[in-house]
Amino acid sequence: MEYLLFNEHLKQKRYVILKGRMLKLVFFASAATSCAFDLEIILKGKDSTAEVVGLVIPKPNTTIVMHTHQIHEYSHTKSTLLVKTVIPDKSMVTYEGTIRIEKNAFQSDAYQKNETMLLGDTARIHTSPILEILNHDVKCTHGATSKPIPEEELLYLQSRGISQHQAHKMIVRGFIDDIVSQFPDSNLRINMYNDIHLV
Amino acid sequence: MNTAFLPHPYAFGFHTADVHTYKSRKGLTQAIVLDISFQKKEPTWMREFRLKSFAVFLKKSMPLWGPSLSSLTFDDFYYYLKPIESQAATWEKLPKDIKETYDKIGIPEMEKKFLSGVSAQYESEVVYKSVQKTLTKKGVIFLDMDSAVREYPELVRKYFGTVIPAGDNKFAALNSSVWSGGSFIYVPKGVKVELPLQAYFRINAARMGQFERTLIIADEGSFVHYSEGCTAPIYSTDSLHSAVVEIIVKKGARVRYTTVQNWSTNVYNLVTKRAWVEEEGTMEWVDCNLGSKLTMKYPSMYLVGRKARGQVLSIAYAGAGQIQDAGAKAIHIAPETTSEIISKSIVRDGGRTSYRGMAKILHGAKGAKSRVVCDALIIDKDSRSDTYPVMDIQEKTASMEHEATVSKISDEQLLYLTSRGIASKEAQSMIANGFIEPIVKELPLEYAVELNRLIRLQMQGSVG
Amino acid sequence: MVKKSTLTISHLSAATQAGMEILHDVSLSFASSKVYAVMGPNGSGKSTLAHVLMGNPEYKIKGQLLLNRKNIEKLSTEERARHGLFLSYQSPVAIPGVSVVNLLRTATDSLHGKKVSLSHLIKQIHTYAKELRIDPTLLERGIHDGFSGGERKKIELLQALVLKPTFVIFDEIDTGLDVDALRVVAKGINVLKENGTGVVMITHYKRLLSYIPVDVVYVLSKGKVVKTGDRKLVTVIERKGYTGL
Repeated sequence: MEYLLFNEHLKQKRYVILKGRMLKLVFFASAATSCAFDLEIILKGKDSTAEVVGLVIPKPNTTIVMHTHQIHEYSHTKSTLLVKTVIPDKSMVTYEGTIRIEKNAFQSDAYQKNETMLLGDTARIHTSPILEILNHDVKCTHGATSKPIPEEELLYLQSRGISQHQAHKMIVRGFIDDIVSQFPDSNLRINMYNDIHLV
Repeated sequence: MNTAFLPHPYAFGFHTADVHTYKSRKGLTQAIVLDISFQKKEPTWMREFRLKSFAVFLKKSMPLWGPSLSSLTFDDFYYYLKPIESQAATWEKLPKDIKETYDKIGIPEMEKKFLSGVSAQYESEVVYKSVQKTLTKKGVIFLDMDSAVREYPELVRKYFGTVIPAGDNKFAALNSSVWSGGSFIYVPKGVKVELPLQAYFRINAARMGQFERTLIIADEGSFVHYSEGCTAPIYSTDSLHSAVVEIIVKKGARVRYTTVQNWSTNVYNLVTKRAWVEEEGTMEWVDCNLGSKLTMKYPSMYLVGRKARGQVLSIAYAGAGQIQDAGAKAIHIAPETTSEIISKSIVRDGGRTSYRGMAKILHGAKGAKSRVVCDALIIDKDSRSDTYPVMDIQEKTASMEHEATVSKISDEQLLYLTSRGIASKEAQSMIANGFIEPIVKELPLEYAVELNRLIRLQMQGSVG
Repeated sequence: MVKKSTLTISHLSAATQAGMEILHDVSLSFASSKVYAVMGPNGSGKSTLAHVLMGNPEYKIKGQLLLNRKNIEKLSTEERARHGLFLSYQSPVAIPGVSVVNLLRTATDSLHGKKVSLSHLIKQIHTYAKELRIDPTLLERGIHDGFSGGERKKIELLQALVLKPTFVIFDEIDTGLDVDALRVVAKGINVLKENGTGVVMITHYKRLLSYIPVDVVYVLSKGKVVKTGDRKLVTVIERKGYTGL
């Protein structure tokens, strides 16, 4: 398992995965000021795979521009990418996720999903999943969602005596849990939970 | 070619003043814009509108995104007035594959001749007159745009260019300068027009002008369904078509606009279509792009009133040498607005389809909901399919869902159908037609039947 | 009426394209108007047998397949269907937008070469659907798209009843059916047999077999035929399991 922190402006990381190899990666993008990050995953050998999950949480009053690329150059390659973003007030994330399947990369399987939770009245997400498919014998899906904090879940927790503010925190925490829990450093995990500022 | 004998789509009572053609030099200058306006005997305000638009056109640059338009040189075209598309003058001159398609998709004999421009008459005059009587009784205004400018100046002037101003993009500016033809529809409060307008003109409508301008105003609580185009391929000598369609859906009204486009593969088809939807209004775009060398078309809706709804159902088919760059745009401004975009594209033989879309939810559009489903079927290895969607959400109580899938015809599905004795090519076209079925079932029946047959033909490689 | 036909599998071996052998030297024979059960534990190659009979390109084969003593190993799937073979799939694939009515109409056109009366065909479909207790709304929906397991099996059987093939292979048609559905399906299968179709049921439970009189039982294990018998063999398997054979 690889861990990656995007915390300085213009940080770029590229992974080239060779024949038969697998990459498992978890990343976290957040910084004190507005930043742009770039993550490139190149499947450069038959039967290579990449499983990537990431969390993007801008601090209040910042913008994060995140670009990811899943590039399939060889046949029988597979990639999955899940990016969750939690955006506080006065912050913005611009996400552009490209899946590109080259002409000879037949029998490739690529998946990308971006899930967003907007936390403030002036929070904003600009998301652009891009597919460029040059071979027909492939399976490719991408998706993006932006959902409000579910009213029923809030009410349920409140009916158990939990304050609205606390219930909010719990739900957002639940949203990012599956990704945060994959980082081994407990201090980092605590910081990530603290990074969620609620209105 | 003497176009005086070719029936004007609006020959049956619409307007006859510009049946003659006006030829000019190639290229576009202010003098030509003025001449066009003069020939149409337009009021001053429209002439001014054209001139202002032309100034914008000169200043505006080509779009920086999308397929290459580098081979388009505006100086190469004639911008003269024509009542209808230039067609092959005789049956023999019509390209072979078009003739074959007419046969195979079952266009009746009479319609064939008319489509190709051979026949001078189309006997729908009686039908037309009785439909017009019903419309007039209800207070519905339905006539060609040229006449509307002259006969209903206040109404037209109030709305013309308000949904798509000349400054919107270079092609809107072009259209605003040289537009000719198109339809004007006004439906009064509470009136529901049951018969799809243009339905009985289905054949006439196929022969659309180069720079059509359509404006539809559906007043509160009204309903109208407008359809244009033809599944049968239309041969056109003009290689640039740039139409503008503006629609205003007032409170509680509903408008459905169906287009089936199958221009011959020498045509650049660049269209700007937009609807402005007020409180509890509904806009439905049903858009099928089958022909042309390059189509760039993104039906849009601006949801400006509470609970306004918009839907785009889009089918794109690209074969050899074709690019279908299509999509949709939904802009949510008011609360509780909903939009749904469903796009299905099929590409083969080295063609290319691109979905370009935008779902934008502005701050304040509380509880807005947007959903986009975009599926592409790539038939063979030389073809290409791209999706370039953008979602911009600025409202935390809104929900947005977008999903896109690209795949080929599944081997498993092919195997299943062939195991029932169905030939492989037939099975492929069944699967392709099944793929677009959710949208085809929203088309008027005649279109649906022909479209299925057309897809079948093209899949089996018998045409083009 | 279907004339007397035979389907013979002679020294058949089948392997995946990658080379994994699944069937080894299998020889079986089937005749019209008879009911056969092909049984065996999981992994015995029963399903592969069904797929190989229909010519699924995922497998390479050695040996012969003879329909009325004519070799069919080189025929494509659709040619085998036209020669009268039908496979009811264990997990049939969903084809959105393609209804079973559309499929049957196109298949009948292909199989009979000329256009069969559409209204007659539709009536037939609805009649069989009613007998099989299939919800009529399923007939116009994309085939198997969102259908339950039981509904899928019934739609497969419906097609066999309409297309009237010479031989039908049912790949585990009994899984996913409740008692009522089982009875209705058994009735349909008996109708096929009465009309002369040779019925081959691939299954590893006895459930369906208690409703349908079986003429011959073949048992496969690890890709080989290990036992042949009559319907009494079914009871033996039920009591002793496959290991008891």
